[in-house]
This record gives sequence, structure tokens and C-alpha cells, in this order.
Amino acid sequence: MLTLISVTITQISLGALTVAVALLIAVIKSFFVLRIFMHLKFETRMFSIGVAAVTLLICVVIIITMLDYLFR
Amino acid sequence: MSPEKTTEEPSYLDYKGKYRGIFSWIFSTDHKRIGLLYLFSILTLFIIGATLGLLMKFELIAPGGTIMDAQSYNAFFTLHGIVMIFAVVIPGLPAVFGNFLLPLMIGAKDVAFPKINLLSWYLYVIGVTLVILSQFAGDGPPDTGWTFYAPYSFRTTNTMLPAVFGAFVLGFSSILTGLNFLVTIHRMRAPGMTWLKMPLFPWSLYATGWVQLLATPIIGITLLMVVAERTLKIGFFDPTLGGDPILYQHLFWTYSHPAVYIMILPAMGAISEMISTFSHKTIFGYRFMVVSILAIAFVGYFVWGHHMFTSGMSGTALYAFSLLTFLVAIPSAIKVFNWISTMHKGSIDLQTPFYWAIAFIFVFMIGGYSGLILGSLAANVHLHNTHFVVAHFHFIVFGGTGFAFFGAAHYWFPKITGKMYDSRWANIGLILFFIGFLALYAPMFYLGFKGMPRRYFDYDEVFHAGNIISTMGSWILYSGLAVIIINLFSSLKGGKKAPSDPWGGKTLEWTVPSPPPVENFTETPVITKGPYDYK
Amino acid sequence: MSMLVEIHRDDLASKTGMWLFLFTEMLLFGGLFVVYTVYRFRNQVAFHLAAGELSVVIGTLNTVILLTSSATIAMSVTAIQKRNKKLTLLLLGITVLLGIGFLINKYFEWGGHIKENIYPGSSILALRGQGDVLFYGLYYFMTGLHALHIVIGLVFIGFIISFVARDKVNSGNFVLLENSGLYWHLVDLIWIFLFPLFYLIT
Repeated sequence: MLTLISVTITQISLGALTVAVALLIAVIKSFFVLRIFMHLKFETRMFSIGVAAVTLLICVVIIITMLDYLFR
Repeated sequence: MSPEKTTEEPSYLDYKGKYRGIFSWIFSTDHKRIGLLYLFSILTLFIIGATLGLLMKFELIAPGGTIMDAQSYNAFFTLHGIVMIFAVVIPGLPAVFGNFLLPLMIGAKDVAFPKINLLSWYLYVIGVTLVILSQFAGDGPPDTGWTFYAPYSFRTTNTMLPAVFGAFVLGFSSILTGLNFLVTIHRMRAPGMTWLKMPLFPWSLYATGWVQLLATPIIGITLLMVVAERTLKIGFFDPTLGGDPILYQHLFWTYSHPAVYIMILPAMGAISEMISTFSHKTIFGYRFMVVSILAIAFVGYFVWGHHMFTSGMSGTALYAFSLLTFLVAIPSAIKVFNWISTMHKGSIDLQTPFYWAIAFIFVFMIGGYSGLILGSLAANVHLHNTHFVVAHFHFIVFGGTGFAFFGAAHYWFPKITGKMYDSRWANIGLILFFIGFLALYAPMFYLGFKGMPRRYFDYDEVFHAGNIISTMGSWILYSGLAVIIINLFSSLKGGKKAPSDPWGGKTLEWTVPSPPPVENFTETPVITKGPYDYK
Repeated sequence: MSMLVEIHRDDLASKTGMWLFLFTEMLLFGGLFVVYTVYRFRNQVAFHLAAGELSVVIGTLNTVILLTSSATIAMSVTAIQKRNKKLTLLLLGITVLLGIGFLINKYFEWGGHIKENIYPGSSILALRGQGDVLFYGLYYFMTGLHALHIVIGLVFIGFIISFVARDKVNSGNFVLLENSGLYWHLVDLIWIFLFPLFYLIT
């Protein structure tokens, strides 16, 4: 469902936004997988906090690394 | 000696289970036996690493080749680094004392996943075997340094793959240990032991567990990329194919900096235990200590670039990393202040572990200050890759984790073995070791400041005097080590029988017999008071 | 005083352990996302063009396959809770078949590229320029590592199938099934991000 949307949307060349949109849809898809398939909706909140924290950690590491590459 | 209730429970050492002899050890899932298996392995690797260091120092006693050539020296410092970092200090305190003491200190029977615990040790043994075998493989031992920097790590014709895989397997062992401790602390604390009633050593193992879990995979994938570079020419770090060697350094240090917090956090936890017990006083500022432990683990994740100041990073990155490096020093300073404040107006019992603890504070602070100097961008340009750096990390890692390890070994020796060690020889060993340590590493600050590079087997004559002192220091240190280790082993046989609580400690491990029975507690303890309840 | 031997089972601990392990997997691939971000930033045009050479059809098909298999394994957990052993085994079997289907697709996809001499270390690839080398290097490495995890996941599920058949995993004790599901969902999640980053950035 969402997959078909993401494929069709990116066939329309949105230029620089294409990556952002594709990733946004990926994030939405993962939200559903996490919440429903992986049961996070029904499990202790600790797991959701953990997933969010780890995701944030990876993003921060990428951002800090890019501080090097963006400004060389 | 206090009258002991003789329990019918055999101690974990005397317990007769399914297996006999050595199999009762290498197939055991008892966290206490696994801790000792680790102790035996890590001690062996430590002696190997220390001997390598001794030989390196002997090479450096005079300029030019003394007992080896340049290529051999490269192989020596590579193996010394790999062994000491991946096989000794990273597993060190968690695998030995964490395994033995964590369940006891939180009132549990064992860790959450005892079989995975044993698997961690098997992986450790496989990893170190690969590392040792790397020395004898086809095209010569690894010569890249323990840091495996690209592009040399995929261009060198020496055999790299066994060492790289060995480090990978050791990383996996570390991840599983961290995972085990995290679940244990979350799920198996005794009734009444809320988070803020847990002693500081388990707290430090908790923070360390998160670092082991979340940082180690990065080096896992980085090492896999090096393998891909060497075998498939994939191009990630090869400038001729579009790759960036600095990216290797980013990825490598994104793990290896948090790794030093894996080394130091449990050390700090153990030191807290010792200082509280031998001051007969509760830890000053317990909550600040907990927050500091967590803060060090958290902020420590974001400072890795300070190993790369001269590599060619952007100015923005330089400023960001230097600032963050200064920030991470703050919680460590808080801890030092609180240790001193704990001792203030305490009733000090001058025992061997306490001497180790105050020696720790001394060398840790020197190491820490020198870290701030290195964290300053302008100074770093001058000091990077000199012996100043070598002095810094030996003071803070060997001085930090090493001293805490020896302190912990003496502190918990009665609990683990049921015997008291000979304190006279223990103190003699400590003094010898301490003098040797200072003589070995302090001159390196000066030598580095004057410009002597690291990882070189040769040097200019102007550095000769400092190196002579340093090498002689290594002999004194090594003999101190021998006295300490031999004393502990001989006390196993001839030591006096130890009571449950020889030091008057207040944490849970001192409420069970020395050595403990297999399932630790005959009745699950119920906690009503804080961890260091000294009044 | 004699010890009471307690057979103590803590399902929450078991599940927590699995979630912690999933975190390590997230970070393992996270390192590769760092590499991807850096090299895409430095070679935007080359990545853009090279991505156009990948088959969106196969990629989309694989995405649908994996998402469906995620659904089937999630349903198997409900099935076992409802004591429906046959349905549980059927759903697990479908999951495995879908996983194998994914791998077969991958085999043909990689085969196509390799026939054209596009693979790490090939001289043809090197001739195409650094951006292409990096794109395909990342493509093979990331999808390869992902495929390895699919294999591991299938083996894991294979074991669970045998446990369910022998009633070692049942309606009263199914945390192992849940854990295998969690692992499989993670493999799905990683692909959800790999798909746009390699196939849709045209």
C-alpha cells in the first residue's frame, strides 16, 4: 500500500525533495511495523523509548560526522 | 573471627554437579565460575601484553636498533595494543568482577542468561586465539597498530585477517556480556532494591552495558568493511577508488572512544565501593555519582573526533569535538570530588585496596588533566602522535582501570576465595609497582612535549636520558606485578580463612559466606536501606 | 536449610534481551548508513544516475514480499495464542517461503549486475568513476549483509517451526516465537530503508 505510493511518488521527479519524501514514507512504514507487528503499542513503554533513543543516537552520529564533510 | 553459621550449602568451589574436573569449569553456567574463567584467561593475556611492553621498552632503552628492527617493533606495538585493549582492559573489570559480583550485589542467584554468559567466554577464547594465531600466519604478523588505520590496513602485505576477525569476535563477546548485565539489572534486583538503592558498582556496570551494547557494533561493521576492502577492493576507504581514509577514522573512533568508558566506568564503580567501605562512611553525593556515571557514558559517545584533530577534518568539526571533550571531563571531576569528600571525616581503615584506591585517584587525575591538554586544539597539533599521548592513556587506562583492577582483586579476594591475602607482601608489591609505574610513564610526558614521536623504534639522542629512566621504570613495575600476582596465588594456598565480612562492608556480597554457595543466597534478601548504610 | 529449586521463567527478560540485541543490529547497519550518507553527499549526481540502473520492479516486489512475510509471522503469534497449532505452522511456513522468494529475487538481481561486470573490484566498475564504485560497493555490501540476516532469520524461524511442531513452543510458552518475529520484523525494517535509498533516489 504505502510501498506503491512511495514508488509512484518518486517516479515523479521532485528533484531534491525526492529523497526526503521517500525517506519520510520509509519512516511512516517503519512506524507501523514497530507499533503493530512488533507489538510496541502493547508492550512496556521502555521498549519504545529504547527504539527512539537508539534511532536518535544513530542520527546524531550521522549529523556530527557530517559536520566534518559539510564544512571541508 | 566471628562465629559462622555453618551452612550445609557447599561453596561454589566445592560444588559437585554434572561434570567433573576441568569440565565442571568450562561447561559451568555459574556466574562465579565464569568470572574466574575470565580471570584466568585475562590474566594470561595481560602477562603476554605486559611482556610485549617490557620488550618494547627494552628496545627503546637506546637509540637505534637494540634488540629488534623497525618492522618487528611495528608488530610488537600492534600486538601489545590489540591484546591490552581488546583482550584485557575492555573485558577486564566487567567480565571478571562484574560477572562474579553483580548478582551478589543486587541479591540475585545468577545473571539473566547464564548460558549466554558462558557463550561470551567461549567467544572470548576464540577471539584471543585468533589474535595470537595472527602472529604466526603466512605473511608476517599485523603491523598497522591496534587502530588498523586505512589505507595501510588494506594495503599492507602482512596478514591482517586473523587479527581483524579476532577483534570482531571479541567485540561480540563484549556485546553479549553487556546485554546480559542490562537485563540482569533491570529484572533481577532483590525485592526492595529500587534503582536508587543499588550500589555504585552495579550502576557502573549498567552504564557500561549500554556502551558495550550500543558502541561495539560500530567497530564490528568497520572491521567487516576493512575485510571487504582487503578481499574485495570495495573502495570505502581507498582514496584511489573514491573512498575517504578519514571516514575510517570516524567509524573506528566512534566505537573506540566509548570503549575507553567501558574501561573506566566499572573501575570508578569499584573504587567507590572500596572508598566507602574503608572510610566506613556512606558515599558522598550518591545521586550525583549516579548521574555522573550516566553522563560520562552519554557524553562520551560524542567526543570521538579528538583522536583525529590533525587528520584533516573541517574546522567546524574540530571546534565541536574539542568543546564536547571538555564537557565530558566535568562528571569525572565530580566523582573525584565526591570520593575525597567520602573520605573526609571518615574512619579510615588502611588496607591494601584502600591504598590502591588513593593511588588510583592520583594517577587518574594526572591522566585526566593530560587529556584536557590534548583536547585543546592548539596543543594537540604539537602533541598528537608523540609520547605525550602514550603517557596520557597509560596513566588513565593502566592507572585507572589497572589500579582499580588490582584494588578490586584484593578487596574481593576474601569473598571469591575464602582466604585472606598476605597484606605485607601485597603492600610491598603495590609500592614497587607504583614507583615503577611513575618512573615508566611520567618521563613520557616530557619526552612527548619535547617532540619524541610514538610508534617509532628509534629516536634522537636528545631523548636518550628520559628513555633510560622509563625503561628502568618498566623493570621495577614488572617486578612489582610479579610480587602482587605471586602473593595472591600463594595466599590461595596459605592464606587465613576469611569471614563473610572481613572489611565491615555494607553491600550485599558481604552478607553471604566467603566463598559463596552456588545459588548465592539461602533466602532472597529484602532491601529496606540504602547501599552504604554506615550508621 | 535446603534450597527450593525454582524453575523460574521470565518472559519479559527474554523479550528484553531480544530487543537489546535488535538495538545492536540497528547500530550495525547504522554504521553503514553513516558511510552511505557521507558518500552520497560527496557524489550526488553519480548516486542519482547509478540508482536509475537498479530495477525498481524487483525492488518493489521484494519490499512487498518482505512486508507480507512480516504480516504472516505477526499473525502466527496470534494464532498460537488462540491455540491453533496448524494455522501457526502454516503461517510460519508461508513466512519462510516468502523469505526464500526474496533471496531468489536477489540472486537474479545480483546475477544481472555481475553478468555486466559490475561488482566490487571489477575493472569495468572502476572505469565508470568513483561515484559508481562507491554506490555499487555500498549496494552489494548493504544488501549482502541484509541478505545474510535474512538467512539467519530463516534458520531461526526454522527452529521455531520444529519447536511448535513438537509443542515445545505452545500457547502457554511462546516468547521464543515472539522473539523470532521481532528479529524478522527488524530484517523487514532495514529493507524498508534500504529500498528507497538505493532504488528510489532517481
